[in-house]
Amino acid sequence: MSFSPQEDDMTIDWDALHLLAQKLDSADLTPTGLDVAEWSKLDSALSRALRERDDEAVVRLRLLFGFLLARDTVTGLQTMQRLEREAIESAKRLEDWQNLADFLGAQGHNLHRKGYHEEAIESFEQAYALYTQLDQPFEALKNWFMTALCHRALGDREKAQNIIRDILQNVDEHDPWRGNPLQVKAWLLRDEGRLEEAEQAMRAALEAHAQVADGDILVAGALADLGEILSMQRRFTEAEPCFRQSLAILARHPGQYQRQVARTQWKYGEMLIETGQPNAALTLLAKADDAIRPYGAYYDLLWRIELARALAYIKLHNLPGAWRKFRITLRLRRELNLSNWILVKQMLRRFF
Amino acid sequence: MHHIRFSTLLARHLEARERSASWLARRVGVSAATANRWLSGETRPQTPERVIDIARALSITEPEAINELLTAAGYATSIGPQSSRTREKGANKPLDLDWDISSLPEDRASEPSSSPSRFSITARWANLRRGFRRGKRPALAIPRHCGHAPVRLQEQTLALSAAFGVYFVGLLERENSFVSLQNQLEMGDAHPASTIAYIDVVQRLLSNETHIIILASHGGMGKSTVAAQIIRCLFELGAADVILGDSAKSKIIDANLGEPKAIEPGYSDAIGFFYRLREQLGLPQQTRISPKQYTRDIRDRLYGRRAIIFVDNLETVAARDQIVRFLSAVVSPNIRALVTTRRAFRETEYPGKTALVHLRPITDISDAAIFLRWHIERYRHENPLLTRLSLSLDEAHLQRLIQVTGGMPLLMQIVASNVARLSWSYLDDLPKLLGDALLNSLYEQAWRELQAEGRAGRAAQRVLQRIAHHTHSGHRITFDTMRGWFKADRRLELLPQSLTLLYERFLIVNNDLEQGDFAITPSLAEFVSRQ
Repeated sequence: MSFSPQEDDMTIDWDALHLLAQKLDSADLTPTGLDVAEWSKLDSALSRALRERDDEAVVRLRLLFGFLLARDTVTGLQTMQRLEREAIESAKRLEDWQNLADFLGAQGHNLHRKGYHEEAIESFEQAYALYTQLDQPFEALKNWFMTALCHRALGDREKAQNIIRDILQNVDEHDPWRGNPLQVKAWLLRDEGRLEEAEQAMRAALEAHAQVADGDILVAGALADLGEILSMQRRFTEAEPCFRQSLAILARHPGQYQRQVARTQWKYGEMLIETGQPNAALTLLAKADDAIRPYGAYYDLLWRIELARALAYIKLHNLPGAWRKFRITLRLRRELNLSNWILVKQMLRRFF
Repeated sequence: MHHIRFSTLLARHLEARERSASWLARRVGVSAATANRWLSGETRPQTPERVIDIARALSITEPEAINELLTAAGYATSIGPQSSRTREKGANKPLDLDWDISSLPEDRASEPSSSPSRFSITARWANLRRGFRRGKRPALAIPRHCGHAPVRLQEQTLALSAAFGVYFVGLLERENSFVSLQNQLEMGDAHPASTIAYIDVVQRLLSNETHIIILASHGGMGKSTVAAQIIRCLFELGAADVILGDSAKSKIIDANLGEPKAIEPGYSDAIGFFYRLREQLGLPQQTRISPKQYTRDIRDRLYGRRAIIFVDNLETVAARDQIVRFLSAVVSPNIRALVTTRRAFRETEYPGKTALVHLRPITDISDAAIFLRWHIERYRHENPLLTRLSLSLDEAHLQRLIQVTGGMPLLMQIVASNVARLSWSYLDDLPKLLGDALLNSLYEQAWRELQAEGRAGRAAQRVLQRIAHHTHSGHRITFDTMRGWFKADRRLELLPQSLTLLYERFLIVNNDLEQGDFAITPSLAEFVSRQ
């Protein structure tokens, strides 16, 4: 970065931005390596584009840095949220339906990760409609699939099951992408307490994910889920290696998938509670908390971590602690407009 | 059975031999970073053989002492007649501590946690009482050099750098960043004044007598350094595992235009401060929320953690008493607060369980000698001229140095560097100013000297401005970063000379002599931002 007060700053320096994107895309970059001056380059470029009402420039910026939105560590950062929002509006104005569909789908993913499932459904449905108009059925199907996750999170399991059933009927048996609906099918079976079937579905999902190029993050997520299912069957010695392997895979991408790390640590922590190690669970849950809280707005995972802590405190006969953690769980769920009555039902189903 | 942590044990051995992690790293054949991770507790030696190497480097020959190291590192003991059964092949290899559950402190609960038989009503009641108890805790034996080991902030680094700047984060993560002086701290407004050590401050926080410590003094007295040492000690003792808070900051340099650019301060009132805390805790923000709800959410989020809320530069905020009152609503035996301020508080201005600690100027000759020797040892790699001072730290010179600087540690460091470069007669030419006035005068003089040094000097000025700009970026300024700057300006050949000019005239901190990790003091950053 040249330190030159006389430099002309009236045009967007796309070369510098390309270099920045390359740097941010480097495999070993962690959030602590992000320079505020570099972020401000992106911020400045976006501000300039908006000021000049240059929608094409906004879309171009979004395409250049979109990979950051796919990795879940930085999506909470203000700059990225702003870019996502403005790019959608620019694409609408340009009637750039292809990019608009892509951006809406990505927005849906980010909203879902944070726990704003209703808003996510809206984005996914808009993306679905656009992809259908663009005659891209597979892309449409993927967005429709994501609504199943959201419906499940909102407690509408029947709707989620119907969507997953339809999708599995429409996806070739040998398509590795099939691992995604199989994984959700496993969650739904797990929710109903049909653990053996859930395990089968999850192992099938794992097998499919393993065939995807660069699919190790998918594998890591599925391993954590498999560990959870095994743990629920009290097969703890089989479950533990799943969690460790998941964390080992994620450790190869330091700082890029903090939400996934926290998710695995949370599930692992829940198993520790079940195996009578609540203190170890609390330590691990603290790590999970630290992994995501600086990156903003991952309320969906935060409330789950807090709920797990509440259960750990119950095991420790620490009722004040349990109460505090239940209270903050409900607080976070209220932010996401999630029904606390559904939570109670889920808890009862889980324990009885 | 009490299990001592490997990191604590290693720190004790190093302290007893007055050796550093870097020294150990060289002797054992690992990187300094690896040795620091051992000291911070982030990792342990990968093999028992490595533990033996460490023992050998430390000249530990007693079987019991070696076994203690092996046990603390998670290995079966293998020395002497107490040799236990041989482990299976591969079983001695510790797993990555990030997910090695066997290493998790099962015996150290975050809150009262004993599990009596659930059928014992008496036991359950005792447990409940423990859960609600807020009594004074027994005094804990704190090692004399507690806080020696650096804190590995990991995921917290970016957030803390953005809030407090890389200088403070460097203080937390760097070893040997503090020297304890006998008469450095003074408790409250009591007359006669009672001096205390930082260990006493830690003891008060741990004993539940005090939940909020306010460190008050003029600038340059070392508030950040003392605060960092207290925090490091709390981490080392396992009494802290998360740092929150913010510093009021009002200006950064726009690196593109080279101009000061105002930014929002971290907080300007109590609600703003708690907004920041909520943000750091990942809590949703709401505008229509009562103060009671604010504090309740924060306490609920932090329950079970051992948190330090650090409030830096409180004097820059108008509603500082409100912030302290709000803090008092949040703090607990496991949520403590550390506040720094340049403006004095009267004891009547702050709520109970708050203690005021003043940082005193150095007036004692022996303290001055200890301090300067530490400064020479700490900075001699960057500024070799400092070694000239070692032989001339006699009583007369020290007395004169105290006199002209008013005993302000930062001033003593800067003046000492100039004395090393020029001579002790330099003290006679100093302007008759004290405190911030003298500090700014010295900065101005040094800045003018850089200007007079031609291209290298002007390049050095730009380096300072860039470092000041990056203070809150969370980005490490390494040698590579600097090379990039100079290369972009087509002045790469000036880098060594510019760095030397800076080392000799300003207090430039470099936390990593191999790869570089540069920071400057907040006062210097403020000065640079005005140029």
